[in-house]
Amino acid sequence: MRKIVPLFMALLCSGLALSQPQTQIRLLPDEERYFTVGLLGGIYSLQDQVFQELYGKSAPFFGAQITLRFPIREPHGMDIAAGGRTLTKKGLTSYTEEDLNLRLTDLFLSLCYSYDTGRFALFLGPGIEYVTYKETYAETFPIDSMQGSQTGLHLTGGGYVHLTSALSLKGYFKYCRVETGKPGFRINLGGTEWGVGILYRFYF
Amino acid sequence: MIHGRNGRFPKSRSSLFLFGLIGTAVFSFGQIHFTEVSAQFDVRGYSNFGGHGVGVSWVDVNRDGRVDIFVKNQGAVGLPAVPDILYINYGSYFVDEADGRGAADAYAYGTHGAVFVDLDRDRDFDLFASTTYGGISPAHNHLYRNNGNAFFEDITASIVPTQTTDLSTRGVAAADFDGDGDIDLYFTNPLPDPDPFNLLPSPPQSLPNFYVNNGDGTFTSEYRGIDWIGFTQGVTTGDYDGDGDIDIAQAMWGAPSTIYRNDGSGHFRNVGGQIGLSVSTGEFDNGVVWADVDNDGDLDLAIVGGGRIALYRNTANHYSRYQVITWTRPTDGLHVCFGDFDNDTDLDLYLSGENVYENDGQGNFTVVPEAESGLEDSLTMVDPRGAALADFDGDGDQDIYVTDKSGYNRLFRNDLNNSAWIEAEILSDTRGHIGSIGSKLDLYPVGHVGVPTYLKGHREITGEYGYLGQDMPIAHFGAPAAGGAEYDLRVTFPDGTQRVYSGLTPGQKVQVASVSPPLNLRGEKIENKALFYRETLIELTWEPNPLNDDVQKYKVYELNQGQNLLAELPASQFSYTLRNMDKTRVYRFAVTAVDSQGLESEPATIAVNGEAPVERAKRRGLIKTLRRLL
Repeated sequence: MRKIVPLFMALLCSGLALSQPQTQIRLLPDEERYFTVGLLGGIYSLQDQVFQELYGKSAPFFGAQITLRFPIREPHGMDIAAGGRTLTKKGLTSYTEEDLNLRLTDLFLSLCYSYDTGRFALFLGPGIEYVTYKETYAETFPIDSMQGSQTGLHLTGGGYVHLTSALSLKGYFKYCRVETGKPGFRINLGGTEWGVGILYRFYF
Repeated sequence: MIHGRNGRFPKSRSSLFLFGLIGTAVFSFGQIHFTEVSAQFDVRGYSNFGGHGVGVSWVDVNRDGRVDIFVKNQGAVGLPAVPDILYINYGSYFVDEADGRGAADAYAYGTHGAVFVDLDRDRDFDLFASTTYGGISPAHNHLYRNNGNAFFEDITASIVPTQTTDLSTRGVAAADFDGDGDIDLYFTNPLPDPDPFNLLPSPPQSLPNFYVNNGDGTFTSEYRGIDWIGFTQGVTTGDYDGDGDIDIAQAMWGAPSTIYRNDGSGHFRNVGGQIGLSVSTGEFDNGVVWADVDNDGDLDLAIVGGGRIALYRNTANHYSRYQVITWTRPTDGLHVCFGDFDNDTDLDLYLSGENVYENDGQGNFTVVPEAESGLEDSLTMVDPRGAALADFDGDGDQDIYVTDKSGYNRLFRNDLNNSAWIEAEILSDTRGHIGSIGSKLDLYPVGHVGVPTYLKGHREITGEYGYLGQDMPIAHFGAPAAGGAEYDLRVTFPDGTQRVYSGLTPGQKVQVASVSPPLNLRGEKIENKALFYRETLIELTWEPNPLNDDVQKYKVYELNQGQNLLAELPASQFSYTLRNMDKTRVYRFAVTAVDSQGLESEPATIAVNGEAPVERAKRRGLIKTLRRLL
């Protein structure tokens, strides 16, 4: 958190500094192939009933992503996005009410159709998830922690608002489907992610 | 403090106290000697109205550690419904508080038999009091519940079937006759106006003379095999044949006094003639007493009346008459007490209104001259009736209270006052009864429990005995201290459970408290969930047993492989959780209660099956709820 917030502010300031007063973003086809880096934040609502019982219905997360956009026929194009996010949440065991600490770290890769008007952009597409988890328990609990990883799929969609030629705001949702049975019982790590981000764009 | 009719304080107490000290110093060397102190303690009964006292119970009704006196009073022509007396012991004086405490039982022609017993297992003494017909109706028996502070509530109508017949009850008995764990009641002469001189009614009358405890606080009136075959006076209970159930003996007019053998289920059969008792008719016996006078571990028998005491020795459950005691005064003889008055380990004998007789150790009795025993005043009693024993002044010897129907009652203080004694008071037996009628207590030199030749005293707790007397249910043993002697005490409760108290020293009072197992032991497998881990808990819960009042801790055992102690928990904790258990396995557990003396109850056990654990969430407090939401 301490690292992400200054980085977020730095991106925002640099983007604003580099931006020019404009009425319209440039629409030259060869300039619509761009690369973005950005920071994300939002709420992840896990579907798992036990998660909801122990930790509550949702958890905040922070993350980062990079995106490559390949125009096909403007305003149509294809985005390839990769990134990651992490969330931590404190909870209590169901009966003894001992402390729990959960960390979910998620790496993803998405391939999305995008429609970019120059001022706004929309995107929608599937992707894959790689989730690592670690749950840490109180000293009174029989074990110290449990950790592991699992892959899954997601469907994501959202939009951009281009603030300047270099800076955009992103809003999105993502529906993830990740299940694991490694502890000996089924856990649904999937859910719905609602997030916003700020992106810095490089043209190439 | 409640002051009754005779709420006066004794006069000149200081001078009497000095006399007592002097007497104590003189007679503390094993010599039997008594001092009459009824005036000092103001316990003479209705001496201004010609007496009326026919029986007495020593009982600590308010459980303050001081023994109180309940005097059973019979009416008289022109003065019916004489209230009974409840003298509350305040240490240096007594006060009659029967009226204020609801124990006056002033009905019809007064009271004969009455017994204090813990009917409801709340560890106080309730009262079963008979009513004497004597031409005045209604004459019904009454039950009074002690509320714990010696205030009594008449609960007769709510728990006993409606009584439609007047009764002429004399002696009464209380014990767990049918072995089901609760106290039943027996009363004599269940008919309104028996003719005392009508010998051997034919046929015998099979009348309901038991109140059988239903276990739910109510009683059923039943006939249990004891026919009315003649006017009955005193009655007592004991296990004369050592078979674990409680038999009945009663003294009768006309018909021979006899013993009724219990078949184990609370049904009785007259066996007197078969086991050696006299079957001659026409005797006028008034009192019957069971006591082990020869220290061989069984109950010998004394029957008193008709100017003699017949002593029967018990040999292999058969009685043989071996001594007859007579006296010169023209009194019939109504009551005999057996107590170790000189703390020499054998039981001596006191005959109401007469003298004390010393035991030679073999059960043979020799009168102690009154000049030596200090019982000159006993011989002046006009119409001596029931008597009873207790250590009312807490000095380690047995004192005597004697009623006089036509004069004032006497309190004979034993001046022995040495430390050669051991006393045992049962505060709670395995069924939760204080006093524990039917319990047997045996004293042995240390290390010799159960060896008959070493037996130093055998006592069985009873209710009424002799003629309407009831001792405080504390077993008193003479226990000489010579050579640093130590003793072991074995207590056998009515259900056969035994406890041994080892290494007792003379001058020690043992408070026997049986520890009962905790109630409603439950075990449940519970799933304690984290997101990535499912832990199976077993939660054991139980409830404290109200029969226990001295639990110091609980012990939890796992029984799957032997008996493994898992935990010792404080007495305030009624649950225990086992972590990380196998949810498919069957577990067996036991929980016991342990008292302050380290006595451990029988275990309450439970098997927790291999079914899937239940999901259960604890009730969350506000703070935890907020924490969870945030």
